[in-house]
Amino acid sequence: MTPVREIIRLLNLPCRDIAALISRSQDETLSRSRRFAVRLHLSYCSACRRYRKHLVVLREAARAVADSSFDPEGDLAPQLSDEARERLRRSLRR
Amino acid sequence: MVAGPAESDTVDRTPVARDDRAARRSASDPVDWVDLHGDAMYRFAILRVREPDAAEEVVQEALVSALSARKEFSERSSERTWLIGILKHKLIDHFRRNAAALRREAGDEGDAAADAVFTDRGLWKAGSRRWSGAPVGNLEKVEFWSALNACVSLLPSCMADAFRLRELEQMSGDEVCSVLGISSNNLWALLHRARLRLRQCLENNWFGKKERRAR
Repeated sequence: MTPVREIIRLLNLPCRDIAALISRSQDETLSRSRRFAVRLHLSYCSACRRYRKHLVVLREAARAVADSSFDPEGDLAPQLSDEARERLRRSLRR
Repeated sequence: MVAGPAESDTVDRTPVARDDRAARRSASDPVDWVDLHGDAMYRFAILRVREPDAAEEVVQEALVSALSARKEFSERSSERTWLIGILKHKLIDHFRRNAAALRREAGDEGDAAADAVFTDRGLWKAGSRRWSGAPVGNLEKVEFWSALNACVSLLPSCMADAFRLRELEQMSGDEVCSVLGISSNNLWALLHRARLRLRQCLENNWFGKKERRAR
């Protein structure tokens, strides 16, 4: 595709493609032209702005529960059953 | 390297105070490892692999491997830290094996559930609510953790693993590609679909719930 047609294509991406780019921007730096296309789209599309916000919150929330200070307590804390313990002990005796 | 929870020797976190001493112990007899460290290792594993059988299997592999490597255990770190380190490597192996098996089965056929979020012309089908921020406080975190895991377990395995390694283990994109044996493009596609689906699922099951809105 010629550069001009590529630019025209980028400026007309529907939300589905923009959403894919928003997601990808969480994992790598987008090219300048793609960044521009996303920013332009976001300037008029509140649904995609909301999606971007949601992905940011999703990442923060996952980080909040994944980090070292979080430890699920009480009933939610999984434990080895007695049978599982015995199986593990046996595998160490071999 | 897997970026998992670090061992903290200085902070007394009440939920683990009961086996703090066990955590700091160095060089106990291997026959005691299951009693001293089994639950902690199991918790570490099951947070990452979710199925109890798989978690137990990985813990077993780690213990057996530790048994043959115990001469290399340096007294400088705690025994718990050392065992968890071995467990982390076994977990990576587990993800690698899993991904290899999945690659043999599946092609890349797109994802109906992710596509269904948009109309044919690529517009959002439904609106979504404003979300309050990330969970704060232990109660919220515990509840969110349940909701997140329930939603992630609904994903196809390859998507679930990609998301867990990237967002929970906080590995870089390159590291995830290396563990799962996939290209960057594959990874972006997997994560994009996972995030679309998780966003919907969490909207329904957590963020969108009445008491959580508009904080």
